Amino acid sequence: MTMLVEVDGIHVRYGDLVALRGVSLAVEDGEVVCIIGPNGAGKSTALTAIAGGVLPDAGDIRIAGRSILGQRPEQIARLGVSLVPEGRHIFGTLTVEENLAIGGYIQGNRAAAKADMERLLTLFPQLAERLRYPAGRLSGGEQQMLAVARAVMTRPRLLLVDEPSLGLAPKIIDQIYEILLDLRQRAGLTLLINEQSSNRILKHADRIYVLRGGRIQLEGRAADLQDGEAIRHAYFGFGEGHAPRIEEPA
Amino acid sequence: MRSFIARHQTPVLLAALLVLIAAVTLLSRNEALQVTLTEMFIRVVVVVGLYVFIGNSGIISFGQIGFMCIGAYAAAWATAEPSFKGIMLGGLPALLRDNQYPFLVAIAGALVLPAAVALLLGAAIMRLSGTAASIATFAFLIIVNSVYSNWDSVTAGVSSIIGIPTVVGPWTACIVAALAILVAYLFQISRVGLMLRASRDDEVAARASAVKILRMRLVAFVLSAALVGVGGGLYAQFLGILTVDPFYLNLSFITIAMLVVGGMSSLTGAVTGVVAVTAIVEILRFLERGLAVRDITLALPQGSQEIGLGIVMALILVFRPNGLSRGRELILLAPASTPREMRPDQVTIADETKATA
Amino acid sequence: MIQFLQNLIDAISLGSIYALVALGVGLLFGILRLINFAHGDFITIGAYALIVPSADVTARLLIGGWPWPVMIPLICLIVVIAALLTDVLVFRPLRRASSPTLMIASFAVSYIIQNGVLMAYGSRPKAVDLWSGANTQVLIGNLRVPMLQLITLAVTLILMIALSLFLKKTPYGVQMRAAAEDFRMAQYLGVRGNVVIGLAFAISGILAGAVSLLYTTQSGSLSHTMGVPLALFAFVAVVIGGMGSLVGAVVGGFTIGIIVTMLQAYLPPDLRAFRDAFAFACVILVLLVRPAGLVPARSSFERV
Repeated sequence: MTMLVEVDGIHVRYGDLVALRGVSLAVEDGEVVCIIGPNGAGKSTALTAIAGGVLPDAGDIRIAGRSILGQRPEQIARLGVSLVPEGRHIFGTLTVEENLAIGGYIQGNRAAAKADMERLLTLFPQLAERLRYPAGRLSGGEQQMLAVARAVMTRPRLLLVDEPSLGLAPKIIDQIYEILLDLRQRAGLTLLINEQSSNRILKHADRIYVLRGGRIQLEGRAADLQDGEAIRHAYFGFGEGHAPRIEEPA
Repeated sequence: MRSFIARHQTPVLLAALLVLIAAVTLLSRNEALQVTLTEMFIRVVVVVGLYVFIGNSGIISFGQIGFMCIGAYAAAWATAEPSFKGIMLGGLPALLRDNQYPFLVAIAGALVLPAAVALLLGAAIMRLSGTAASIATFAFLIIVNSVYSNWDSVTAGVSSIIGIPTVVGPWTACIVAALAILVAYLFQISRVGLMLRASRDDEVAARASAVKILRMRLVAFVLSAALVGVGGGLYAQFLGILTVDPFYLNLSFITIAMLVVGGMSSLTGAVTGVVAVTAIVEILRFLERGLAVRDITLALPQGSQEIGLGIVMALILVFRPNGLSRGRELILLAPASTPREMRPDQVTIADETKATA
Repeated sequence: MIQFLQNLIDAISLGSIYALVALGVGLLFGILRLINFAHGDFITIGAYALIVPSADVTARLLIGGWPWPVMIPLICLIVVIAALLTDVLVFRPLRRASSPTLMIASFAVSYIIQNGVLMAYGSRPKAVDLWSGANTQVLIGNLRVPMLQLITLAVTLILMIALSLFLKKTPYGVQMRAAAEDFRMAQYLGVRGNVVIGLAFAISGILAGAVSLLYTTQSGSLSHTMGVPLALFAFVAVVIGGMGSLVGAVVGGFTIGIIVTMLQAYLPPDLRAFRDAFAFACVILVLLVRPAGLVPARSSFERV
């Protein structure tokens, strides 16, 4: 049971405003873990901190047992962590192909990167069709696919996905989730996904964290939380305090 | 009563500091130091003027020295000998050319003319974003320099205006500096000043109430130009000779350096910056002259002053970006309650929006 | 008519120089959001590297006297090193600093370099004869064009094409364009921030080195403030052309070259001195009317 990423009591502040207070979470190798929570809860901050985009004032973050606190995003990327941020952040003035290529440079191996790209293009035929288009001209759904594909080009062990379904049509969301889970199956990818709310993800996730007001309100196995009662509690905030853990019956 | 004093102690303390420096320096009866002292007080007026705009609006203006130039020449036009003006500055209107006016009139001119120009310029450029506005102010500096260097009939072009009565000494400059501090303080606690500071770090809020912000920035810009212009007026009547050369990139750099070293976002920063940089430059100048040790003179090479100042600036930017004052104001008496309006480092809406994860 | 064409060629030649300087400034702005006030002083460094350090009025050529296949790369190398030093010493510690802070920092670097040169070489302008053949005139139709102007144009075109190929075809070029558009996202994908920025400074240095050679050959003199007017006009060019757009920088450079030359040639004599004032008034006008510039970049870098 190897912990791929451990977040240990981090406090993150933007100026005077506290975004995360003493947040701890962990993801095992090969798991699919989902963080859900309302807008402004701190979900993006959590993923950003893991990817190295923001420095916590307190606490620690470990990848495969080694602390990555204070490392630059490009160094963390080389440890196998890849972020698909909220809002996609594709390089609009670069072509689809160039966007994908950027992800591949981290390999240092042109042939391998080329092979990866070809494989990804079979998974995302819409991207294959638009290979030489400036990425800014793609539709929202296509951009999301590009963002995911680009992140996967870095051959990550851990894929952090921030609100993949935001603003997308259900059909596209399905397609993206299908691909993510497929990658998890085939490439042993570990997934940590943020969503505002999603019945969809509950079906596929191994474990769930509920984040609200910068704190973890609830943590448990998805299987135990199927009825949604506990989640609604934690999400809407009846009963403040520490996260009740739902243990498996002995 | 006590709480009133406590709340508004900063300008008093700063003025007292200047008076103290003046008294100590004048006691030393060193001629050269007196000159440096007067120059320093004039720089306080200018840098406080810079601060009124830069510190409150957050926009770096590289062009304020242009207003100093305008103010200096306005004062010169008022007070130089009519005989000189008749020959060299034929282009001046007769009212100025044929008469000689006293100090206060000159200062009034040095205040009004730059302010008027600032009103026109600011009306145009205040709606530009921070970077674009900065570039526009830079362009303004070049324009002023170019125009004043070449408009021979009015400014004597590249030659000097001489014979300006040198009525400005250390005490005059000190008093004007103290007044400048007061004016700047009154502005920053006024409604316009407070609102401007609140919008300073927050582009979103600024854009939401765009028109208001524009007007507030304009007020700050005009007030800043007025103060800097007065500084120019003092300068002309201190030196007695006036050319266009000083009002260009070097002086712009030095005054901005003073503001940065002291701390851009507080009045205390503006004042302490001038004092600190003047001290540093004096020390370096002394070291350049050299210490005689037995038969050898140990000295820093010529030009170390400037390089030293540049390096100090860079170091401050890296290690203490808020300057020596850390963006806070000078206080000795602990105020009864922490007045929110005194804290330049407020929580802004920007912090709130950034946290929406 | 001949006179007009002659002026036009002068204008284009001057425009090439401004375009090269503007490219250097625009490149750093695109990647770092840095307005490098010191870029003109990089040019000054390149020029002064040609002579023997001394305060004499007549400079003796040092590197400037060496055969040009050695001299040109060496001068460029020196400027590149200077540029990289300013990155490592000043701009790297300020990576997360705000725009205003960066502007002031580059202002400080400019001040330091200018006074450093002043300290080492004295304040009097020096005469330098880099290449006496520069002014041999080439006959094109009815026009007499100084050789140097043709070379300037050729060098500019070559450098622009080279830069364009670099940005489009090489991995580092693609990474630079990505970083210029969204620096943080590029980092998340493993793009090494410091390497990309260092490259930008290096390329900027090469461009500055080229300009220092061309400009010194043309003007025949050195002064510690020689880079200032070049940098100033480069800012004008970048703003007019469109900040963040490399094409815009080039367009702006040529536009400024043409405006300045034409103003010089056709303004009535008493207004001619105000040429600079006019040029910078144009800057303010463009900022007001078309703040994005003539060739606005949709988002940062466009392919040259």
